[in-house]
Amino acid sequence: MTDFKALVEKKLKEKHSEDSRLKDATLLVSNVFKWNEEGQGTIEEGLKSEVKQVAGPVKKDLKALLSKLEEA
Amino acid sequence: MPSDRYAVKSVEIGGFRGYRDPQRLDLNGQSCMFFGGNRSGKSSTLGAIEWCLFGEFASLRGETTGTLDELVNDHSPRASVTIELQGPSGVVKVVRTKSRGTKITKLEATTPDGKVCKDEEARKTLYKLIGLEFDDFTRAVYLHQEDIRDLIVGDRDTRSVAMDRLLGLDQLRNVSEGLKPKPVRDAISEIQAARDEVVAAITGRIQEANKHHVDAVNKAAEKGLTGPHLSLDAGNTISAKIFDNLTEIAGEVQLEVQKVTPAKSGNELSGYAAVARTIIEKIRKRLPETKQINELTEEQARIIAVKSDYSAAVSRLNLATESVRTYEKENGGKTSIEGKIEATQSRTKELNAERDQIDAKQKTIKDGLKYLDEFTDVKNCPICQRTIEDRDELLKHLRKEAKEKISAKLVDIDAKIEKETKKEDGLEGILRKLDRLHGDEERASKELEQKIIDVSSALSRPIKAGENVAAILDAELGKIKRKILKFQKPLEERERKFEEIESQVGQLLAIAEVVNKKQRVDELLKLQQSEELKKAEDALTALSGLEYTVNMVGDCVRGLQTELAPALVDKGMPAIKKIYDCLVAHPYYSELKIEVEPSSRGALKNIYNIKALNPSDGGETLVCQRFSTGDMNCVALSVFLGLAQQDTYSHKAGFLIIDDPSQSLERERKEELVRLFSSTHERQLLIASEDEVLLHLLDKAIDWTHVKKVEFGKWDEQGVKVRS
Repeated sequence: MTDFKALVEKKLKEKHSEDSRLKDATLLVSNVFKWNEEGQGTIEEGLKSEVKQVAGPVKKDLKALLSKLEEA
Repeated sequence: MPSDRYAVKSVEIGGFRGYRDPQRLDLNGQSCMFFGGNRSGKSSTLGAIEWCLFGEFASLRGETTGTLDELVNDHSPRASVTIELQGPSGVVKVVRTKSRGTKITKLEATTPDGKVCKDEEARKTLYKLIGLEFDDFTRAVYLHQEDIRDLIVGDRDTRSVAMDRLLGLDQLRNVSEGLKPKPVRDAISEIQAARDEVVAAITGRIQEANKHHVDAVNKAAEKGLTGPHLSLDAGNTISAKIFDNLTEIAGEVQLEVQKVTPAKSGNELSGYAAVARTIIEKIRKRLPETKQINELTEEQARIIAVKSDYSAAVSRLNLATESVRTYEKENGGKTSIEGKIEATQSRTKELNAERDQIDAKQKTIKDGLKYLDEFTDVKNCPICQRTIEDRDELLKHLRKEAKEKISAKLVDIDAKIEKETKKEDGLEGILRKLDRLHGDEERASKELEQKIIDVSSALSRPIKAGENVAAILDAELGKIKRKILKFQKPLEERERKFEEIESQVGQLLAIAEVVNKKQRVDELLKLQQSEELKKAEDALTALSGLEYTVNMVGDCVRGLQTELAPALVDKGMPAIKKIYDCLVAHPYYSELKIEVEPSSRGALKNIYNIKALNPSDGGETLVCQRFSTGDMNCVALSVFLGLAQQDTYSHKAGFLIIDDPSQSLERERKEELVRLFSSTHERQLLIASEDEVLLHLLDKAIDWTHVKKVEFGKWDEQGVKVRS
């Protein structure tokens, strides 16, 4: 069967060889195909989880800071 | 059949749809034809496979109850389907059950290594093994009778998805559909909004704090404090001065003052100011002059009260005496009034005697008249025995005497008696009031005596008769006042010192307020550079990078989808054409082609146009525009089976399910279909049909030792009748 992950990685290298984010994109491809193994909906869930990891604590901190400001 | 795919080894169905008691079908990976009349249980059998693997039953889509109890046989408490899949590394056993009254189904999967997993874990395990979700299964494995033609007549988006799946591009399709930048953008927007809200709140608080700082500076200016005097250091200098002064004064009254360390904040300075004020109050209370003055003031207040009480008693006695005098002047003394009463009583007595006499006379006359009336022959007066000369004249005279003279006299004398009685009552009232006034005077006198005793007690000396009590009290008050003045002078000097310190304390408080407000401004300014905001900026940078890479990968994936599709179509076309030639054998459109073009609308994706053409004159048409229903079914089957033969699928389901493939087909096409089925060995085919012609043709063409045949009898209350 076709190794689509390898195909996508190859395509990325061809198209974005000079791009500083190529490494990040390649890592994302690995993650995406790993999420895909779990089922169709999990790619979106996986991405959301990635986003949540970055955004979650920040949003929580900002909310706490705002509460602190409102209480003061 | 390729060994890396899964085929159906066995199916056991119980309590599901038409099935009542459990029935097992052993297929052993072989193709199988399910024959039977309408509503004999064919579709339920194929649907049981679908439901067992995915928990869905496509034929019920949109027409279900909340609990999906339509899936459970009317005579059974629960539905249960067990499938054994024969795969590259052994048998996978899948069991799905559902009880009546609940929508929830239970799934259990046992892998070849004996590992048993349940529900969500079982779903994931199945996906990893077969590589299919329900939607893909209905597009690439199970061609429902109502879906066969959809490949041709469905809208271009539906066809785009179905063809991508059939060509094995489903992994890329999953990625292009699942990997969208929206969640990243949403998170960026949320963080930006939260950050902006925090920044706006900090800016607002800074403006507010600045205003409070300016107000505090202005208040400090009113106390003569400006610029360099408004620092923490300046506050500490004043604080030290205050406590030095207090320590000095406190020593005089044996009060210990603790030393203070330099304050580190405005709040600490405020605290020192409060402590200084408490110390001042303590010293004030302990000063000897204060004690003396307090005692003298108390004494002064006591004497003033005694004097006030004495004066009031004197006034009350004077008033009572004056009242007695005035009354006696108007009405005479007690003896005089008593004499008048006696005279009045004597007069009344005389009048009563006179009245008794007149009353007796009247009675005599009345008796005489009665006698004369009774004894008419009387010639002499019964009283004086004088001869009665004229009886009538006498009666007339007596009646006149009794009626006019005696009665008038009685009225007159009664009036006099009444007058004397009233006079006596009035005199007795005057006497009573005089007695009362004398009583008041006596009480006032006794009260004054008590007040003089009080004065004596207050002055701690006896008061002799004739002494001027008021003057004695005034002299005492003058003495106390002089003593107070004597103590007040040093106290005032001390108070001036206290006022000086209190002024310093006021300055200290003003400085503390300014320092506090400035510290608040500084704290808020620091918040603008806070860790939270820095992290927010870092997160925004990271998410922007992620959005960029999501777009990078998404573009590549969609690019690959459009690049790979034409080649995959070209690869599959010979097989598709071969089946098309057999099944359709169109008299005019002898060729079939599938055009692939990237979509020009919205996100990049493949658009597939299935066309038929005539090579000799270049005639061309979309299949859905010119072909009959039967021909369209055949074209769809050609694509479905042709691509299946090419083994381009990325999933690992090694079986194809086709429900009622011969609908709307002529006998010749059915013959071709039978030939096609009998020569297809790439996949395990599970075909359901009620077409007896097809069955007859299959019977003639197929060696049933390699292909299973399952016939369904007429369905009754006992459920589906299966004859293998």
